[in-house]
Amino acid sequence: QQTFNFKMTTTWPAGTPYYQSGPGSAEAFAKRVEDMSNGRLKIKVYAAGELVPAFEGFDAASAGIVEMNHGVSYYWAGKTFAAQYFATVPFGMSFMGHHAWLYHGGGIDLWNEVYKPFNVVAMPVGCSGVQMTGWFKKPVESVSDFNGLKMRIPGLAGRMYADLGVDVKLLPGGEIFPALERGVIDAAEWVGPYLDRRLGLQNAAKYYYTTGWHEPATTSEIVINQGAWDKLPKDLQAIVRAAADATNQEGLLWLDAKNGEALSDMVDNFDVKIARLPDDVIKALRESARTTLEDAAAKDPMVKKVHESFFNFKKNHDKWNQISETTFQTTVR
Amino acid sequence: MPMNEILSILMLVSFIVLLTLGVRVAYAIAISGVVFGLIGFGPMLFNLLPSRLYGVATNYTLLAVPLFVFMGVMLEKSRIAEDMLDVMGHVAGRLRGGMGVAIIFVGVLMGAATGIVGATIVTLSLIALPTLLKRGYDHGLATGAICASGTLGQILPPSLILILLSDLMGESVGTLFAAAIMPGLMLAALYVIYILVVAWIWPNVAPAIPAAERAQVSGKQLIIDVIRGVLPPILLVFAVLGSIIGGVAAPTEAAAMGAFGALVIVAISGKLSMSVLRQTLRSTLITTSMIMFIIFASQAFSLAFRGLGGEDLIGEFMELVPGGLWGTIIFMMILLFILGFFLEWIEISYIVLPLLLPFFVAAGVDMVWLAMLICMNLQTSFLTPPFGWALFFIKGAAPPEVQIGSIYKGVIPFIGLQVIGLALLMMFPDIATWLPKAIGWMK
Amino acid sequence: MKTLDKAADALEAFIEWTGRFTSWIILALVLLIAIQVLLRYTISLGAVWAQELEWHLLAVISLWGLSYTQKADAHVRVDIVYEKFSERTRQWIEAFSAIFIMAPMCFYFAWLSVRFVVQAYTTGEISPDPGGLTHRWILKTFLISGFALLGIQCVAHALRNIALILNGGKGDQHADE
Ligand code: NA
Ligand code: NA
Repeated sequence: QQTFNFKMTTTWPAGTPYYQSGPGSAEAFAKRVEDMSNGRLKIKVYAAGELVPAFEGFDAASAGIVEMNHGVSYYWAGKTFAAQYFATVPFGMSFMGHHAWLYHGGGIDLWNEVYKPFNVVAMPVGCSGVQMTGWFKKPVESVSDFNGLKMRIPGLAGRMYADLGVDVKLLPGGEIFPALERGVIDAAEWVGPYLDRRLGLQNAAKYYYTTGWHEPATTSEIVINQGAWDKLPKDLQAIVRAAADATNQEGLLWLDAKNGEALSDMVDNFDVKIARLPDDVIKALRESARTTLEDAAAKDPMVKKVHESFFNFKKNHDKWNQISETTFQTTVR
Repeated sequence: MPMNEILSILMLVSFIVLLTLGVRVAYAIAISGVVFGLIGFGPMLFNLLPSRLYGVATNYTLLAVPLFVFMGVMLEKSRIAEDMLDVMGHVAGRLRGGMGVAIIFVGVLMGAATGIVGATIVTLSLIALPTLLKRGYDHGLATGAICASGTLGQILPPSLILILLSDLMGESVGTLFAAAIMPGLMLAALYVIYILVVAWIWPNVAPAIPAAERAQVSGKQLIIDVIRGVLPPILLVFAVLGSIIGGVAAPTEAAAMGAFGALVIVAISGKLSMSVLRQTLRSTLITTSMIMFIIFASQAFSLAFRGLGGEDLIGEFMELVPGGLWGTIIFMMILLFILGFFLEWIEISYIVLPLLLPFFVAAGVDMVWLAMLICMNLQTSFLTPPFGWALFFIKGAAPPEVQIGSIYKGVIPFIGLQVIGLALLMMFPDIATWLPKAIGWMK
Repeated sequence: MKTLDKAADALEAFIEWTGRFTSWIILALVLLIAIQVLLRYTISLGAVWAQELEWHLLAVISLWGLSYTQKADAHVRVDIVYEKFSERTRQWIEAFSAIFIMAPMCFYFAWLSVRFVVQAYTTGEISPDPGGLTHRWILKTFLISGFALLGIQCVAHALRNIALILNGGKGDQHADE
């Protein structure tokens, strides 16, 4: 039987839990594929910078120089804005709804349609759940507190904060801590309790705001070069899909388990104060997110197609979610 | 031995031969990588090269290179650096080695603003080397002191190695940064002691300013000179470190505050002319590209090393591990040290650490302490002849009369000091863990 | 020999011009970052494109500076053995390495980068951050031009040393600066 050796680059620093190493990670996915295929498909995983820098793996997979890349689709928003939607949508849906859309609302099909020009096949492989707003040096009580606030916030959310008057700062991972600690920036966003604690952000700022309106269901992806994918026999393709699904679930649940412990630790032992974004701030951000996405949809037919698919699905799902999940969380629990 | 492992050894040999023949470092390392990578792997591998080159060219932290080099050249061309060192020499009076000690201090201050070794070494040698040589310092001692204090930026926060280690080891960046401060300062103290002792034993190695010359400067004049000569550099230190501590600038931005500060100071002192500016910019360009080219070129070598499965070669080597906790630690130290001869620290970390870390985790080793050992060890590998990058950087920035042979000789005592520092850290882990525990960042 | 030197002169004049131009970008970089820091600190003003411009300029400086640095003969070498060679041997080493190592390496790097640039161009790649810089393929072309310029300087270097060798080892007034 033919065996295959694939190379997979990732956007993650070596050793990063959940993303690169350990349960739910790129390495866990590769190991699972190898085990399930009894060694017929071996995937060698390279961390960011090992073969190519963090954000170059997508192009490498697209050109067929490596077979796979593990990352998050919103990193490629500069190549095609529609990619933003498959990772997560500001004020979109949490894991349940987002993945319901991906798997059963046409999301994955659209994803592959958007990536067709890039010559890659995509599938979800992990989900961080609802992230956190981020770390603030001082409490923020109203929209006006955001005016002139200096915040490390990359990507689409930066645009929405900028609408509130936030001075958006881009910083590499390693400079976030010193900059926040010394007050060069007033706030910083990373992921959630477990991964944030790993960066030591609880030592740099004490106000930890919820909720991750900007990243309610951040979903990792693998992309596979079309040619490499087509060469795989049907059973190996099925194994790759099954391994991706299994890793997706494993990562979500593992991180959810860890986040609870990390949050309690930071509150109990590091004097971290949990706070919720004020309603008027949420309202202003929601308005900004709506217009930003609608503007983008108006400009590009592909974005429009994905946008409408997502929000049409959301309309129905929200109603159901309201009477099931939300009711349970707010009145029963 | 598999073909590819033979090729990776031949690749290394060809690099050494070309280097010895006098082919410029960057071309020698690139062509060795390209030729053997093509033989062993075919052209596909190097399609990854542009991504890596682009990653270097657009690497945010490497902005420290042109910025600090600009600051250094500006201070050199305007003679501000020379004045400062002369004043320090006068203040040191009869005490020999005074200027050498000043270099270590400047190295510590710059290391606290960047983790880019090329930037600190080159800047220090621009600022100080000509004056030290003019004052009769031994070439070896002068270049050794600059290389050693320049590599302090590697361990003193912000440190790129520690950021990578924090990812690999799961310790927070903040904790590792705090843990690195004492070991870094300990090394600096060892350098200072060494310079003073050497200068005391051998009068000609690091001479004081001659008594006759010192006699010409009255006490009152000296105070005025101190204010005039040392004030501008102190302002610069304030611009760089003050802007970090005061929360004005992030670390890499602070390098720009230093560069801008130098421009302002030179302008105020009336030494800024069109020709000084023009020359400064051209020298900065040349020195920056000299550093960047070595980093660009080494991408081809690293890529070929990975493509040829060089990590398997090291994996086989791992079977030689003698066993036991200390045996493994010492083995790892030796391995890091040897690999440091020809690979960049980042490649070493990627290849060696994943192989050995699971063992240390299982053995319950304190990861913060281990991170410091690794960091200090990799720092030393920057210095080791014949391929320590620090040596190439200083050679590129030094006046032509400084030969690489004397640089090689000059760093050896400092490597010895590093080994002593490493041994102290091995014996007394508190050197690393005391501070983070004291401020409550480590349990 | 005169022809070879003339050709080298022409190539080097071009490199000299690009290098002088590039050197001014360093001043722009210093001012760009310093002004951003001061504006952010004083009136909390900042822009994503300006932050991205910082490392865009680094790419231009480091890549276009390579050839100028080669012209100034400032790329480092280990000269322990080299120092001991005769002038003639050194000229042979220089000519040989310029023709068979330096120039091919540069043009190979430049050629490899073409596909990389085309990829960015055809996908219309822009910054993934809203408010960031667009037309990323332009930035990436500096890989091609940077290494091509270095290759040109290496050709000039080869011509000079061939001229020296043909001339019996004696250079004229145009020997490498
Ligand atoms: Na996030
Ligand atoms: Na540092």
